[in-house]
Amino acid sequence: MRQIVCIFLVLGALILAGCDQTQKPPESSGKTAPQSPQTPTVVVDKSTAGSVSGVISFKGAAPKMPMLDMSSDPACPPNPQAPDVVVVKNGKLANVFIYVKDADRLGTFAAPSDPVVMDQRGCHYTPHVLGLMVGQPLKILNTDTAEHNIHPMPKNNTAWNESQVPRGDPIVKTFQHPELMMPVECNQHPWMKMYVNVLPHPYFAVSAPDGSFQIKDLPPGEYTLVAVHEKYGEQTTKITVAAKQSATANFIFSSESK
Amino acid sequence: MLTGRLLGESWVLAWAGRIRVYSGLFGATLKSSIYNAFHHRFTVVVACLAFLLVIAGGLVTSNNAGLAVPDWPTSFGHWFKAHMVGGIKYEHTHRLIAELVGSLTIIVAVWTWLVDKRRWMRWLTVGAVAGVVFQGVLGGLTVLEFLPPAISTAHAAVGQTMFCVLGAIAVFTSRGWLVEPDESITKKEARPLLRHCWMLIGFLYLQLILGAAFRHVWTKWGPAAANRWPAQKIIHAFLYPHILNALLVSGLVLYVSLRAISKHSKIPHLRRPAIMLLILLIAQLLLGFAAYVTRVILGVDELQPTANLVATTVAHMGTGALMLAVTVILTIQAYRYSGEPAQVLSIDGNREVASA
Repeated sequence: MRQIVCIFLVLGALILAGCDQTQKPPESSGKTAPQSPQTPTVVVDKSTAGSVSGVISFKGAAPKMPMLDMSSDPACPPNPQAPDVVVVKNGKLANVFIYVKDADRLGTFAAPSDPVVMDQRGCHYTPHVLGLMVGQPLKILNTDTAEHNIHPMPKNNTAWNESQVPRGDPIVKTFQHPELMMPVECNQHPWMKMYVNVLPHPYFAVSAPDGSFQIKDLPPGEYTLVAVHEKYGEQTTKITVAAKQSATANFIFSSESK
Repeated sequence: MLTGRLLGESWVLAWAGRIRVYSGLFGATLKSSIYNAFHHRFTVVVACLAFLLVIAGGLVTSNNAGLAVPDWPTSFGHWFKAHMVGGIKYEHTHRLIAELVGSLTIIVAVWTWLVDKRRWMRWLTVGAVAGVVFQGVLGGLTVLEFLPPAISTAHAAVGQTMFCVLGAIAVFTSRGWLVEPDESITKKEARPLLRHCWMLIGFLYLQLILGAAFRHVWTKWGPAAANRWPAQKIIHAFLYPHILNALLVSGLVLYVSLRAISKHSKIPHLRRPAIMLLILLIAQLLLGFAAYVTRVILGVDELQPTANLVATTVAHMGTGALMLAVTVILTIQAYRYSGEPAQVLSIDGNREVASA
């Protein structure tokens, strides 16, 4: 018997030793993260600020994505639904996250107290890709008649998994560390997936259904602009923003990208 | 081998000796006061439910439903009630069957202590209870720690181990076990069979761990989930070693089965599991190929688990569990038939091992 006990103890120790030992960052909370009093926040001079805008195009035929079968939950749409992974309309690509890579050199930015809203509607996440600042609240709604669970899978932030009843109270969360393309999934409905991008500055955008995007209030200077798509990877370009001018940066993705 | 390390080979040998003590105490007739038909049938039911539980666990992973119920040990704050839709039906059903198997294993232990005077048998059932509790805690950790592949893989491996333990308990309480064998094999004949049986158990465990790690890493970090590991990286790290190890397992199954069938064909308790192993091997290789096609060739870009992927993967995992259990039973029977009761009795002859 002693040997049996030893076996289980050793097995337990081995399993615990095999667990992820990565240091967990502080818990996300429902409150906006306070800024450090010593760090002055950047105040953008809007009289000189410029902007960058452009269009994300998709070269070639859009891939044929399999339709989503949501019949496992009667509260979800009964008919096959189009997925949000690759949304191409008239050769323009939606749901691409565009951000200024080196804007954090400008200093520390205060996070807005206005929440970014994410909804669960028709057993889809709306929007499919979103961006928010470190410490900015993310308000999660469930306007479905289906129950959902919201499970982000972060690399730098704290993971959590919470269920939300139909039309239940909003869940409000913040993320304390920058992170790009953090997947969020619902394990009750495995087709539901979206991406959250957390940045330390406000210079980001998500391409609209017509492929367009615009990033405003950018101080003059040279920057690196990055466009990320969940399936087609990342593209980078250099831009120069002149005072009160709008720079243009277009990206072209194709099925060969990545 | 891993199993040898896990169980402690010396302990198993000593334990097998006890078995021989027991089987050698009786003549060719059944000790009717030992055999309890209801007790035995109950252990068979529990072992079958444990297999059902393994299948239910496979359905949870394959449907990516491991976190459909965020809390543990309750489901949405309740023990039994849950809205059985989407991923919840897989996860909650798995929990319900687990609670049932856990409760029934406790009953097996209590019942065994009441009707079976074999000391090792009693402690084996206590070990089974400890094992299912440990397994339940591992299951809880997978939920509360958001499916860490190391713990999820351990949960898969311990689950199949407990299925083997409960299957062995069913064998030990059977009528066939309680009758002294008519046939026996010499230790010299048994040694190669036993050695290769242990090797097979070890490689089957390795196969189980590689397969489970592949699925759990895929589900946690793969393209369908966190998208942190490219599919090819996961395939190279876990699937190709799994396929390579399948060749070793196949070779060992062929050796063990053909040896048992050819050299011990008169002993049904060795012949039957050997034939069963061969049949399972053929099925397993076909299912493995089907699971490879549905996941790696057709399923990398799937946005949700397909019925074909789930069916082939779960069937492959279930057949693997059966192969492990049959190999364990074959090994136990090989020990039993290779015993020399007179010598064993001299070690422990005065011990009362049977109830009057």
